[in-house]
Amino acid sequence: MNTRATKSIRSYQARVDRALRPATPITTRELPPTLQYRIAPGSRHNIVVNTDEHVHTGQTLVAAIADGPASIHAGSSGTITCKQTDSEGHTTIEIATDGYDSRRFKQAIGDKFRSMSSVQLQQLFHHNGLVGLGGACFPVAGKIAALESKPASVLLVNAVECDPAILCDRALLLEQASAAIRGIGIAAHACNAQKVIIAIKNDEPAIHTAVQNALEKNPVENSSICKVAADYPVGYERYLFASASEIPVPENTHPTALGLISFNVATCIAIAQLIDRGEPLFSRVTTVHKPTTGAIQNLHIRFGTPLNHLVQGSDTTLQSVAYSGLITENLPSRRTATISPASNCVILNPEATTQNDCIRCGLCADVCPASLQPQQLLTHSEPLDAKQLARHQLDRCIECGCCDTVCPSGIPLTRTFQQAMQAIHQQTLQIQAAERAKQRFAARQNRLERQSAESQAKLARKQAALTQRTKQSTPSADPRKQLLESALRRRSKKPKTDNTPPPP
Amino acid sequence: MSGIVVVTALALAIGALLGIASKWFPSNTESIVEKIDELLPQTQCAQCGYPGCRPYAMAIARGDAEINQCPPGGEQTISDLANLLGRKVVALNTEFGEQKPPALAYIIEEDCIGCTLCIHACPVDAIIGSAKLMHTILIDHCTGCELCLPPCPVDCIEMRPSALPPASTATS
Repeated sequence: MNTRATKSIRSYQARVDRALRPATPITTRELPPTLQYRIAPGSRHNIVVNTDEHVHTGQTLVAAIADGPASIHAGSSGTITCKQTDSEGHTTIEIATDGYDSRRFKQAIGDKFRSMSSVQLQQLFHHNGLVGLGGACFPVAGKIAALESKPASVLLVNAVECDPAILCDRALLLEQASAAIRGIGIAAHACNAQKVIIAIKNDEPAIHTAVQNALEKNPVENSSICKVAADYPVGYERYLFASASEIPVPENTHPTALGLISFNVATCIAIAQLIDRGEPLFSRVTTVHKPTTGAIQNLHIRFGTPLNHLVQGSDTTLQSVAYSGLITENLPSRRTATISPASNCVILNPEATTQNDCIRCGLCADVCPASLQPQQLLTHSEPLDAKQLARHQLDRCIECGCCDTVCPSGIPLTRTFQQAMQAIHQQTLQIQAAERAKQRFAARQNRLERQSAESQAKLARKQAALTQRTKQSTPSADPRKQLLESALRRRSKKPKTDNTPPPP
Repeated sequence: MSGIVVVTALALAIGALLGIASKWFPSNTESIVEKIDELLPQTQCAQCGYPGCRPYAMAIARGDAEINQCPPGGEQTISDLANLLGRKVVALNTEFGEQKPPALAYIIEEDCIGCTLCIHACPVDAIIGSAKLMHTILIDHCTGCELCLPPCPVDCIEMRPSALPPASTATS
């Protein structure tokens, strides 16, 4: 990253930081009247509840699939409505909350986790809906399993939320540092980690003290705290490994292949809650910004809470929503507007920006941490040219949004790339489906031809056998006739005897 | 004068040579069929009047069929084919059908009587079931060709809109 761009992001960060510095405590909000869970289409989910069924908080709604997505749990007690698949193939499970929030969790495991193997813990995590809360929602069990039973050389705890708008991890560390350390200990046991690095920002002394105090009370073996520079996007897994553990991860290699594994702080707290309270994952802490009123809150919210519920009681109307902070911006489609494990930050009503044409200044290429050429990618995104985008390595884009921040024309580059990636993904799926259909059609044609050839051959064989038999039987028509004939012949050969009875 | 004679003689000689060459070395129709087949949507719906995408590709290569007979492919397929074959882009011939949004067949399983007729109609073997037992469609393999709809005696197959899952997004 060149200095000019870093400066630009720094000043941006400072501007936001001034507004956000006062610690924002975690508050809980009353339960919404309905919770909605949108289940993606495909055969890889297994809904275990039915319409009109009553569920308790924490009960399984969608069972986990081995090597697939983790389970989904009810965020509140209430009555279920399963809606049929909509035009995009999604199924919606809706819970009409009853207000009691009656909880029924499985028994807590507590310190017995030390006698459990990594595989057993992975099973436990997977069936209690544990996914990464850093933003990518990758199943925790899948991540540990990707280590392929090798002991992890480094477990990195990611407490570096570098996006200036995201404050939930900061609040969690300040308020629940002991739970986080407990969770880190369990995670280290589950991955057999040889070394634990807790990465925090270098400009947050309060967090450093909180973590250090918690570590002194409840030490984790071979653990250390690493302070990293708070330059965006240091929180991205690959870059954090490079700066905190000094192990560079080559592009095209996944960190788990090198025995490196990382978990977000919020994920570690979720692990601790599961082990110590038997609580599956059904809620998270989300930073909610309301720029119109200037309000910033760290809310403890259940997954499936409609975003409309968050703007209730204020004058704000939900015009547009940005997920995941100011720099990293993911716009959800309006129908999916609920809190999900990925929603670490929600900005209601972000300011609209004017957009001009690309002037090819190259600033975006200077700041791109993945060393891509965003201006080139933009040209090939509209209209979409999948081949050129692949040549310019669009798949390596980490959607950090640095290019958006420095773009003097205010082009929403990241959003364009996200849309292009989705379009390419759909195209790839279509091509794969066409290839499958082609092969199956060819296989069926072959089978039909083979079957018809076989039946014709059978017919021909039978006909041949039949003509053979008729040929043989022509001289002596019928075995019974033959017997009769031979009997008659024998009789005619015999000397003629008198039939009259002898005289008395 | 001699120049005209020489050039005419050359033209005739080269023309004759090319004529003979085209007889002796016929163009590689196999690879052309392959290339055309690649551009077709592989729904195997037979709306073009041929029993599948490959037979239609062969007909185009032979010159028996036009390039605008594929309703599921629509304008995109027509322009791709025109590009490949160096022809003009034409509008879809609606005699063969209209382009529809992608859909998949679903069997209403309570109503299925297990007649196996749809199994025989499916061009990609995406229906499983047995005589007098319920049938179902493997949606991962269904191309949405609608060929199973007419043979069903109890009309228990319906087309539902299909969607491809959205690409996952990851952020720091």
